[in-house]
Amino acid sequence: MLEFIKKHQATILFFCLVIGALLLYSNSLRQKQHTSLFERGILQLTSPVYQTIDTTARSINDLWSNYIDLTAVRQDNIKLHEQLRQQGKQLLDLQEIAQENIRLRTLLKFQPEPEQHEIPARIIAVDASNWFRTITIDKGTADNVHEGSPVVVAEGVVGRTIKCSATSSRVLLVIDAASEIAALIQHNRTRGIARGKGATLTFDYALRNKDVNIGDMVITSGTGGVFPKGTPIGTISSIYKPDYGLFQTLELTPCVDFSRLEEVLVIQNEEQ
Amino acid sequence: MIRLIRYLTTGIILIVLQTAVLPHFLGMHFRPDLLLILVLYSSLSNVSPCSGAFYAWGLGCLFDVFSGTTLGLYGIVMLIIFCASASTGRQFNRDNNITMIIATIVGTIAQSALIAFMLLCFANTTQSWLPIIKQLPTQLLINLGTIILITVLKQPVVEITQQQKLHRNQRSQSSWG
Repeated sequence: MLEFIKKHQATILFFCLVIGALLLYSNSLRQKQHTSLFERGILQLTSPVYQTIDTTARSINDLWSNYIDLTAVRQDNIKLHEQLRQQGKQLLDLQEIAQENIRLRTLLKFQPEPEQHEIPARIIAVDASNWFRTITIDKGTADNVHEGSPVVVAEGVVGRTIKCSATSSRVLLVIDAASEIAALIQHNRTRGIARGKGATLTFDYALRNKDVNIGDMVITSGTGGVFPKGTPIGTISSIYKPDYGLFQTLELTPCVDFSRLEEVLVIQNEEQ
Repeated sequence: MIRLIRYLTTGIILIVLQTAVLPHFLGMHFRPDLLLILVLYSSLSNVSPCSGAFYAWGLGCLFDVFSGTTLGLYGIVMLIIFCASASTGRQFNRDNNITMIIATIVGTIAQSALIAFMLLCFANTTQSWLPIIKQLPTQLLINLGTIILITVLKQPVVEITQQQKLHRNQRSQSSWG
């Protein structure tokens, strides 16, 4: 027996290691929502390095873009003035609608939406592999950011935090294949699930008989318990209706340009 | 122990390079898999297979901290790649540059296939493997380009080291003589 073990020592060790690695992986699968001590330690250890690299990269980038921007500043100024004028009018209209909304809510005795506190964060790193879609931000448990916090920008949903250390957190983007969000189509309130596909999203379980059009906006439904209701996810870019079945599948183009993300907002719930 | 620390430090440096430095130059989807190349190098070098397997697993787990959602996925994938590469690599001439290039091609394909298989078998996301398969040709080209670049850059360093070794040997022989 001992001779057999000695002879096949390497093979037995490899086999044991593979079993051990499999057990660790299956255990991690069950505890996906928690950040392990190992992950927390490594994230904590590398956080200063990431922040230094990010600060250096930003200063170099700012220096370069400030120079480039100077060349087209007059044309930009004229364009922006025109935009400002148009948006000023839109803002007045929206203020009027908001006032009306408040009046109607009071009239119908609607519960006010819970207060949400937003924490601004900078993106300091992206996913190490080319197929998963996660980012690392410079805020962690020390800033009251915890696992499962929604992350947004002005354009729409970015994702949710999955791993948090004291000074940094990892965010799972909505376009990652592991991401699922309860969503609805804005104009006809059709409910479904928005799933990541790598670069785009799909909207599943939309009833086949519902009238949907390309360009329709899809927003969060607020029923998943993570994202606040009404945050834009994407617009419908293609519709697939199979010959039979209850549902149609829609492809969504995300509202957020993930390749140009620099800052995000982490939303804290009232309890946090 | 020193070797383990050296491997882990190299791994962390490569991961930081891959996650924070390279995206500024190459974008999010066109980065080489430097950790895979490191694992393949160690499997074809003189590292003992047993300790090398531990390093590969450790490096994979380190990679998991910065990639995907589950700890251990890359750990097991890197471990299997190391075991396969170390056992089959013995049949080839390890000093030949072509061996490393072939190992990179096979390693990249094996890595994608193993990740897709693991996600399909264990994870509850059905779509996960699709982006991996779609990305494979691009990833293969990028990794291949990187390993060719490393081989070209490494050549003068290897030559200088060999010359220095030769000089040292000659000097020691003359002093004995």
